[in-house]
Amino acid sequence: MRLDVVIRYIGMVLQFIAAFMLAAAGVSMHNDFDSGFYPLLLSALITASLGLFPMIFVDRSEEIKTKEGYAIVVGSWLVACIVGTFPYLIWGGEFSAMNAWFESVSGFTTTGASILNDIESLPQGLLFWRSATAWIGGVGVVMFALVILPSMGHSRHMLSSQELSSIAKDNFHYRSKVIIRILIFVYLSLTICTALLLRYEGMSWYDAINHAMSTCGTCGFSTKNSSIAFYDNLNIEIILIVAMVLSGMHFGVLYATITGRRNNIFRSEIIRVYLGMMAIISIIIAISLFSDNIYDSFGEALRHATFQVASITTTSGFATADTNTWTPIAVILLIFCMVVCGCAGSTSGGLKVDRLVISAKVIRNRIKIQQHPNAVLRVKVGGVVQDNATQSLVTTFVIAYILLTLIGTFVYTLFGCDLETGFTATIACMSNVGPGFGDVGSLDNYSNLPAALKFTSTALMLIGRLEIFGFLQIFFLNSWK
Amino acid sequence: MWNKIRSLFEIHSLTTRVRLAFLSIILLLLFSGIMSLQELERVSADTEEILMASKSNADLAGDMLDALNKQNNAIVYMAIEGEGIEHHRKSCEEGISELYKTTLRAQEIVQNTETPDAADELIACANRLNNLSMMFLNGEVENELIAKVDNPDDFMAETIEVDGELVTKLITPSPTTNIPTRYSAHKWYIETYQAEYLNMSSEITKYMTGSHTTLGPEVNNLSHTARRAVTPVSITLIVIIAIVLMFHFFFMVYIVKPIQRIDRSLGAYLTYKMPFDDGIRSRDEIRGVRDKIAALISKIR
Repeated sequence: MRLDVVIRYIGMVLQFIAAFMLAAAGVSMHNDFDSGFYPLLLSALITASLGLFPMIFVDRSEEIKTKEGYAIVVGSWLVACIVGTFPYLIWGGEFSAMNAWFESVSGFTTTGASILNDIESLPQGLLFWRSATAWIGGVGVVMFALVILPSMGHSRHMLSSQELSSIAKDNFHYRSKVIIRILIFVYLSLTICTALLLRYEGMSWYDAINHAMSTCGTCGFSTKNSSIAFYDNLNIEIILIVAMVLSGMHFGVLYATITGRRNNIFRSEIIRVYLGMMAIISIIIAISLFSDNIYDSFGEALRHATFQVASITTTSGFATADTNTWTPIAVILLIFCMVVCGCAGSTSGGLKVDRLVISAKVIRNRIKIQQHPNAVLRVKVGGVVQDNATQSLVTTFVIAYILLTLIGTFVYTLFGCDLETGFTATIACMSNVGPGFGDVGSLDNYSNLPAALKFTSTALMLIGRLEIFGFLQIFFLNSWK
Repeated sequence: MWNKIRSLFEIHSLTTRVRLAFLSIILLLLFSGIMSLQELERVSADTEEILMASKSNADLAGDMLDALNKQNNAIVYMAIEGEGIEHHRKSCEEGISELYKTTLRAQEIVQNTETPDAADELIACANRLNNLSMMFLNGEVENELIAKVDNPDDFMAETIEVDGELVTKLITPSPTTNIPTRYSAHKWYIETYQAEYLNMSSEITKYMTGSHTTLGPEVNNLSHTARRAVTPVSITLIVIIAIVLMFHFFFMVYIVKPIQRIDRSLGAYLTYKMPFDDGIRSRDEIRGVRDKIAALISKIR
């Protein structure tokens, strides 16, 4: 593996991140040079210097090998999370080294969990940077760099393949260059539309842009302490529900729908399962909440249930209600949503609906084969036959997910957390949802956890964001030679 | 178009590479240095402000204690000793006025802080004490005590010698005599005035040490600014270590190792007539040297 080439491409990603830091410094400048200006400016300069340095020595490389691709993607995520802490650390306040790392990882992995007790005390520039990390992380730090820096030639294919979810690639019937453009086009369009609609509903430009970035990145970072509950506005909630649900869909399918192609959202089996699952769960939760007298009217119960289901399924993590007070049925269904999450090829994390559908069909076939041992059965999703390698990858992923959930829960309980908090925090971090239940509920945060658990949470976030195997590869150093 | 722009940023000179590497390190140090200096200046200003606030706070508390003592001493002389009434009366009035003014100043100071009601207790205490002193000066306390004088508890005991024996005798006070009034004023001082006096002293101490004074927020500010002065340097130091490590790595990969390869390959050619092939990747002067050696070898052949 050529380490110099890996460092060069990570450096290019850093320059891209430095550009966002400069943009955030611009927001601070616009806000009468608030206290976030110097930390952001200095962070941008440090990050840019760090990113530019390898380019002084290392020339452009046309070809990138598979191992180098993995190293660039994993390295870029880790280094992005590290430099992402700089503005927080320099600014100070609630940000100790561990808190800054937590907030940075939570932003880039679009988890949306926070350690901040008073979000509104942060300067505007720093809050913009916080939302920007979510937006960059939404589509992937490398993916953005690929579209901004078009000098990569054939390397682009390798890097986009490593960055995209393993099952997302199947639904893109384009070349890697087009895939990247589609992703960015859909992502940008969604963000702009959401921001405009939120502004129309009365949010300030600043809040609208921040919430739009956070929504489309399915992160759930808000500029308000009480999240979306602060606005108590049905129209804003509806806009966010639609934006979150769209962000949780496969971007290739969304693009096909916009451009009038055949494989659109109305024909996609995965989208049908995704929407159907959310609708059914919302109604069941609403009935449960209404019958338990948690809300006075069914309409109100449905409003909160739909928002929370959309927020958790798409891994956004925005809150309009304290889900800790909800019924056990509601809690268990929300935990199910936290595990399954959105579609592959979207900005959401978790197991993904695609894997759920494939796993369900593999189980069905296994039962049939028990009855008819000579039967030749295929797993088809949306009319496309899934080969044995894909089926194996999906089942392995599910097993790895379950194992890591158990290990995560064990670590949480080891440090004195109750089972509910430990189990849901593990899933919430690994699926990049953010809020869990118990001490890390929808209106609480992670500030009270000990440093060791904060670090465990960030490790789970990175594992989840890089789809488990992508992250775990870095621990098998023998394979890097 | 893009290729043209790209070619502008491609560096094929060793000198430029090394210069740029050092320049980036220097710039990084410069930026963090400037920011740290700026923050250190703020630390210095904050420290000065804190010291000034601390001095003014101590001065104010000193003034309050002086006024309190002045008033207390006058009351003690008048109530217990009964001496120099006019002189002490004047001193007591001054004490009352000074205590009133200083407590008002204390209230003004905390009004612009996060806890504007922090001096309320101090003001209330000062008012109670001032009222007691005023009552004493106006003779209201004396009248009250004379009215109570037939209470046996207020009688004064006197020890006298009768036929060589010491006898304790109760003196029945008369409203016209001065003794019971002074005696009862003593009791009034101990039971009423002194309690208020001690309250006031403790309120002044509380005010001096409390976080509600301007000192609290300033100290918080100072720790915040101090951290902002130190953190950029720490981060830059870590980044510079990373850059120096990278510099070492790239220097080895792009300068040292290619030269070693050329040397080895040239040695192999000269000794064993093996083909000159080093396989270097860079596009700078080292590549130029390698190409020239290769051209020379092909000419010799």
